[in-house]
Amino acid sequence: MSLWRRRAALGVLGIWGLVSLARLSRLIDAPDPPPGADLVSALDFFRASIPASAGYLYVEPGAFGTDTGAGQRLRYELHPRTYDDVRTAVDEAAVRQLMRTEGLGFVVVPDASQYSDQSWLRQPRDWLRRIELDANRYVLAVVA
Amino acid sequence: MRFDPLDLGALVLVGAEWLALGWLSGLGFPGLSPQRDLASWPASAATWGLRLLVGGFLVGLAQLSLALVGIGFGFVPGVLLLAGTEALAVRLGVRAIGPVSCPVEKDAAPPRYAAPEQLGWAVLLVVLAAALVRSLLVPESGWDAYSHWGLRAQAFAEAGTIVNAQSEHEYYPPLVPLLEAWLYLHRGQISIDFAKTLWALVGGGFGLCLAWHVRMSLRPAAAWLAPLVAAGVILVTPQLLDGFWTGQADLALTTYLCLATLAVWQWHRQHAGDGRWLVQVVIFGAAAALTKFEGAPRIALLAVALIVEGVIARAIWRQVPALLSLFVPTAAAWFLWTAFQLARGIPANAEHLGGFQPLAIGGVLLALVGVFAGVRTGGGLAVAVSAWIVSARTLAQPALRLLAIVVVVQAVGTLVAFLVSSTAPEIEVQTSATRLVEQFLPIALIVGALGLARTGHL
Repeated sequence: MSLWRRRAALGVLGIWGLVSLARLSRLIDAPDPPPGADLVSALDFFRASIPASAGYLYVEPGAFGTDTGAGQRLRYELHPRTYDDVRTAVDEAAVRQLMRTEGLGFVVVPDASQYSDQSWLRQPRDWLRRIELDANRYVLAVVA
Repeated sequence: MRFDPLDLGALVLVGAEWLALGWLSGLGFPGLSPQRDLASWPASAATWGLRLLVGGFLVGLAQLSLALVGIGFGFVPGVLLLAGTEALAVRLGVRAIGPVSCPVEKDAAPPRYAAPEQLGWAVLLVVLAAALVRSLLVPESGWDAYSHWGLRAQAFAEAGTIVNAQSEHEYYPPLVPLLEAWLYLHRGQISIDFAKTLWALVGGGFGLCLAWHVRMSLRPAAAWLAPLVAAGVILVTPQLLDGFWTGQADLALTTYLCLATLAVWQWHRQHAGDGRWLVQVVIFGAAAALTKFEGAPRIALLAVALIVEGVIARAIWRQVPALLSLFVPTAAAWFLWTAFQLARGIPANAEHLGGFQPLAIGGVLLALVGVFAGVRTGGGLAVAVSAWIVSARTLAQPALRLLAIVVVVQAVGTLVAFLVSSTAPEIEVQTSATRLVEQFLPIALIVGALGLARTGHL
C-alpha cells in the first residue's frame, strides 16, 4: 500500500469523523420553527369564519421557492375544509373562475401586508365581503 | 419544548407490537445463530432492530388490506390479528427457504466483542437514543408533514380508514400516514408533534441494521468499526438525521430502500446464497413502493443495477431470483395502491413529470454544487466522494461492484428526474436535492467505508 494512499485514507476518515462530530450539534440545536408560525394566532378566527364543509383559497404572495410555509400550515390546521392555492401572478378573473369551478367560498388572508396595495386581496370588490380579525388578517367571503 | 409521558407510553406500546410481530415472522440476519450469537447484545440489538422494521411494515400492510376491503383499521385487535397472520406467513416462507439457525455446537460460547467494538455500539445507541429524545421534545417543522403526511394521518385516524384528506399529493402511497394514524389510535388523540416520533423509532432500527450489515462485510480485525461507520453514516447524511424528528417520509424511504439494497447485495456476494436475504428484499422492496411516489422507481433502478452487474459478470441468470424478489412484491404493492386509488376516485397523478430538458444539465449541475457546497448539506457527499476516489480500485472488484453500480445508477436516475421535472430543474434541485440524494447516500458511504477497508486502510 502506497504511503500517499494510506494518508489519503486516514484523511478521509478524519474528515468523516470531524463532520460527524460537527453534525452531533444538530441533536442539541434549537428546534426549527414550524411552518407558518406567524399565522397561528389567527387560526381560531379562520376556523370560526369558514364552515367545516366549505372550501377556501390561499394566495401565495411570492414566487415558487420563496414560500413561508403559511399555505402548508393552513392546509393542515383548517382540515377538513377544502384547500387550494394560487400565486399572485394569477389574475383576479382567473382566480374567480377557479373558485367557482372548485366551489371555494372563501379566501384566507393571514398577512395582507405581503400583497401589493393594489392587489384585489386588499381592495374592496363587489364579489367579496371582508370578515376581519384586524386590518391585516381577514377572510374574504364570496358573495356574488 | 414539550414532553408528555402518555406520548412515550403510546410509542413504547406501538414499538412493542412491532417487535412482537417481527419476532413472530422469524426473520433475522442469516448467519446469526439464536443459540449462540443472539446471546451477545450487539447481535441481539441488530436483530431486534430488524424485527421492529418488519413488524411495522406488517402492521401497515394489514391496515391497507383492511381499508381495501372496506373494513378499516379502527379496531386495533383486528389489525394485529391480520398482521400476526402475515407474520406467520413470513415465518413459513423463511422456514421453507432454509434453516433458521446455523449449525453450531450446543455448548459453543457466544462470540466476544472487543472493548472498542462494545464502545462503538454504545456510541451508536447513544446517538440513536439522543435523536429519539429530540424527536419527543421538538415541534414538527417539516412543511410536507403539515401539507401532506400529517394531514393524511389525521384524516385516516379520524375515519379509521383511508379517506381523501385533500392533501397536496393525495395519490402518494399511504404507508407513512397509515403508521402515524396507527400511533394516534394508540394514543387516543391526534398531534402532529407526536406523530413524527415514530420515525425516530424506525431510524433507530435502521441504524442498528446498518451497523450489522457493515459488520458482516468487514474483515474480523476491522469489525469493531461497524457501529461507528453506521453512526457516521447517520450523522453525515443531513436529511436522514433530521428525519428522526420530522414526519417527512424520507427517513422511511431511505430505510426501506437501503435495507432492500443491502439484502440484495448480501445475497449476491454469497454467490446467490442464503435465500432468507431475499425475504428481506421482498419486504423492504414492497415497503419502499408503499412509502413514497419515488419508491417504486427507486426499486426499479436497483433492479437495473442488478441487471448491469449480471451483464458485466456474464451471469445474468444468476440474478433472476433477486430480480423477481424485487419486481413481484413492488409491482404487487404498486398495483394494490393504484387499484385503491381507482376505486376511490383518487386521480393518479404525474405532477412531478414534465418534458425532457437535456439542455438544463449545466444549470442542474451548478445548482447541485450550490446545494451541496455547505458543510451541513454537503459534508456527507464530500466524504463519500473522497472515499470512492481513494478506494477506486476496489470498487470495480466483484465484491463491491454491485453496490457501486447501485449508487451510480441511483445518482444517474436522480439527475434524469431533475431533467424531466415539471418545475424548473434548477428550482427542483434547490428544493429537493438533499432529500433525494439522502435516499442512497448511506449506500454510497458504506461502499466508501468498505472500499477503504478492502484496500487495507481500515
